[in-house]
Amino acid sequence: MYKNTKPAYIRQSVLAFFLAAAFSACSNDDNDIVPVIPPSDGAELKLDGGGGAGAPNAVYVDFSADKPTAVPRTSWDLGFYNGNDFRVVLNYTSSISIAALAKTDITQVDLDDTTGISLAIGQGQGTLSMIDDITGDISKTAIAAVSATDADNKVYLVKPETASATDHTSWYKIKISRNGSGYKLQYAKLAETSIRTADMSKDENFNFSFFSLNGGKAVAAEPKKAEWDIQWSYGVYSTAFGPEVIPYLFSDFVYSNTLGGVQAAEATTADGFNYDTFKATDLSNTRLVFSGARDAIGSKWRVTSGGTLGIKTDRFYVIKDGAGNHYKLKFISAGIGQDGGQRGYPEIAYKLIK
Amino acid sequence: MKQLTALFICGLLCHESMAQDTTVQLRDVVVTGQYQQQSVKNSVYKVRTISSERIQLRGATDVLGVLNNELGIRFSNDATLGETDVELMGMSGQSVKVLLDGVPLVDRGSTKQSLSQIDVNTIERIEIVEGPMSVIYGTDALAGVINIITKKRTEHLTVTARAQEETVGREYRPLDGKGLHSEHLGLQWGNGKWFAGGGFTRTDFGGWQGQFTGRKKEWHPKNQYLANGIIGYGGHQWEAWYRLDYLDESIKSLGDINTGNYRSTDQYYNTNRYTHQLQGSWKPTERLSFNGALSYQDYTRKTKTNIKDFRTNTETRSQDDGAQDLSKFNMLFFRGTVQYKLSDAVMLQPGIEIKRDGSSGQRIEGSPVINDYAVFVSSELKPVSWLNIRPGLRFIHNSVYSAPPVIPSINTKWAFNKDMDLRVSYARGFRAPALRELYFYFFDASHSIKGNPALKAEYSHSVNGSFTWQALRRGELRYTVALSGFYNDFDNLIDIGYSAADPTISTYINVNKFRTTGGMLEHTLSWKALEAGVGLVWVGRYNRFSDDTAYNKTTATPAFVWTPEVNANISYRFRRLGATLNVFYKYTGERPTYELAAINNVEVVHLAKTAAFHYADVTASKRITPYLTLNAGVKNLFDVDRLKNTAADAGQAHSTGGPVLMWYGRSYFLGLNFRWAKK
Repeated sequence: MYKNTKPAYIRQSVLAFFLAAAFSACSNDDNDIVPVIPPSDGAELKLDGGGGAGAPNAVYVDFSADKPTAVPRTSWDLGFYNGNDFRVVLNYTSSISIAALAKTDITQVDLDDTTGISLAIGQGQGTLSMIDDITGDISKTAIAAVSATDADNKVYLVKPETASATDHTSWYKIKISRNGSGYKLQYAKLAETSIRTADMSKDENFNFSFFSLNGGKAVAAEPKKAEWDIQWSYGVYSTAFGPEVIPYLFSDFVYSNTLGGVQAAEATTADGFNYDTFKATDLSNTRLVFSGARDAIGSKWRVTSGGTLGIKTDRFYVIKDGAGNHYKLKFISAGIGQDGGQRGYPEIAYKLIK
Repeated sequence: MKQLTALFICGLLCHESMAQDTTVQLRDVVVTGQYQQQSVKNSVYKVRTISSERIQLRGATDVLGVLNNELGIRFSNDATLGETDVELMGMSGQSVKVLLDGVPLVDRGSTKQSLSQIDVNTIERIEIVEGPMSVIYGTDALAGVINIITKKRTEHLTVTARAQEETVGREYRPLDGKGLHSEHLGLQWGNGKWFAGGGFTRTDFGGWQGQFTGRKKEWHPKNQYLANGIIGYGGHQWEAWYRLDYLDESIKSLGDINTGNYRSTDQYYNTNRYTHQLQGSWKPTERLSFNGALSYQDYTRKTKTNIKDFRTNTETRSQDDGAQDLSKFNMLFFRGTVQYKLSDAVMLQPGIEIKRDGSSGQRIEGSPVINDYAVFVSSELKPVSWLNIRPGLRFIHNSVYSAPPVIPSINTKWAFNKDMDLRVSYARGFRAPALRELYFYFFDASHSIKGNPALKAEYSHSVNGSFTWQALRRGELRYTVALSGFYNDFDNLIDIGYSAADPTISTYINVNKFRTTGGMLEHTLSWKALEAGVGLVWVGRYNRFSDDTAYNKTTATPAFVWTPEVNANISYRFRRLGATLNVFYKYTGERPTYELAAINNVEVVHLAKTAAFHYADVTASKRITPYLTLNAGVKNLFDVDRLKNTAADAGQAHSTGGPVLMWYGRSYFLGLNFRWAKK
């Protein structure tokens, strides 16, 4: 039946086939979008974190002076409070951990005192008692208030971020006492017998005076307390781990200058706020709730695991600095998800609200 | 709608309609696990087969598109990487062995991407065996084996070509890459003792935007070029052939434009695969035969991350950790077997297997090499004509981990009469620790994970049974019913835990247990032009909390969570018209999983459920000239995209809450198949 018409079928078949193939062959054009780009609308900063999820620098930002200050985040271990109380904080921008001993004489402490003590922190390890209060409440430090009665001041075992959880010889022992209006720090590596001493005096221009155990000296880290508003860094916070809440180290954490009187509020589009149109009259909106806690911004501005990664674009922050100025702040990129940024070099934009 | 119109214009070009008989050859010959080619009925294993005709009728453009309505098979999609893993009878891909002509395919991690990197046009049939086949196939063959058999020998010159246009959900445009476009050209030639062949396929998947906006897509665009060639020579007593398969795959994940900085982060994953294999057989006498397979595989995967700046229209490479990477895997493999017939009642098959795996790249410490040596032996005993007993043993030595000393199995087949067969088997299965589990290395701000070279193999005890009854065989009417059941007990499963030496480091440890059990009932009916199959499977997966005394006090939970599946395939052949009409349907029931969740700050055992779904394809094919067949159809008729999932988002790292992306909605396809053979 087909015999006579066979060549025609072949031709039709081949023709139809190649037409279909041609149809789809040139279908991979990449006509990318060309967006309309408006002019810049205010101050933008790229913070020099030094790169990576565990970026080496902590960056303080002073909005009123348009000034970022990058400091190596593990450059200090202990911060001696310059306020009225005698308190010592741990470096919250590192994974330093601490445990109190019953002993009060540092010369009596050696490697044997580590029995039953783990200073492992992070990766699901550790307890909140190893670190200071995560909201920055100065009355809840891991090291007890330094007593005027020196017999009450205990010796602490300290594992800085650079030390090993399993090698106890890399740990430090410390004891802090009052020294007139200042502090006296006694410290040594755990296995060492010669105890070193440092005197730390109070300087009310700063929240804290800092000391580096590895460096064996007082160091400068934080700008003057009136000269920074927020700090971006890798640092310690907490997470739910089963039924418990444990310390967890966060990348891109944003701390407020709590002791410097800085407050922050989150403004979401769900509450009707818009970064571009936000103005002074919006400050009285009752949906804007200011918080003086150190973690008021924290990690709330981005998603790093689970669903859609990246900066939450439905929110920005309103900051009230110690002098009473209000700024609006938004995060532009952090190298999370596909935001066009680089991890460890976050970009922020902020504007004074007049 | 415009797109769809364009799609169907192709259809109008092919207006001829001619009557031509299509006879589907019922190929019931299988090779997986066999001493020599064997009929499905006589096989000591219960083997499921999927023919190339089925692949064509389904309009499948990859292997996943064929497997997706098989009972006991479920997919899980990794939307970030654009990859899909396969689950067989409740066990994930790392327990499923994927073979190409009996040779294991390299995969870089635990997911079996290799399944979607095989040219579907070169497949003769797919054989699926459930239950462990570790004696002959070694590691990973715990849940079962998927063996892809390629087309080899023809007597004549044959030219095949195929072009298929398909929508991706509602997305299709002939000119800008949206939709799915696949073309294939193949040649096969045979002349006396020589045979050769080759093929080329391009499959361009345009991705699917889904809920995303701008440049970002929920399903990443993927473009595959696949090529293969085979040359062989063989006479009566021996045959040898060499085959090369090549793959070039690029997956593109464009980020949306960040309107804060007018930049985007774009990721590109490029995979190259060379699969060489040389296989031979020699049968000097009726009693003796030799088989050998030698394979070298080279797999590289390149990750590229660019930051595109739309203000300056420039692209720079991202400096982030892991943003740029080249991972390499290679494998050298040899398996040799001897089949020796001692008598009509006793047949022996000793064999050896040598495997060398090498790797390097991101998150792999150094450039490790693993050598694996195995000796195995099995025999087929037929003490009486109706009984077939096949005991087997495998002995393993591995250069890195301490391999299980011996893996046993015993398979039996009882033919009650010519229509009734019972198969009962016990087998041990094992999975060697993978390269990444031995040599993983990932340290950053929130991860300290290291591989563990002291790992042991995962192993399983499995019992399988099946009863097949050819209930009706009268004239053109055939009806077969098969009832089967399985029970698998897995131990030493590898999971992440804390290192005993340093609790600040996570590592891989042999810690978990798992069990699967279930039953399957299959009916197949063939009557004149009608072929139909209806199946039901009930897969039970172990709930680890049932044996946990701590949680059982507060919440007693059952040992197994069950998911039912039903499938139905109906094919009707209009002989006079040269046409077929087919319905492929599968129902996958709700999938429950017990998980730990912190609800109101109290940790409880919570029953999470992934929603049930219906999947159906309706396809038709029509021979329009003696050489050309048109096929068209609707895939995913029930328009499934994502499945509701009630996993509690406990606010922990790597939470898996939220809907599960399964498909991209209803699609339409139109394809042309050309086949010409020199008479």
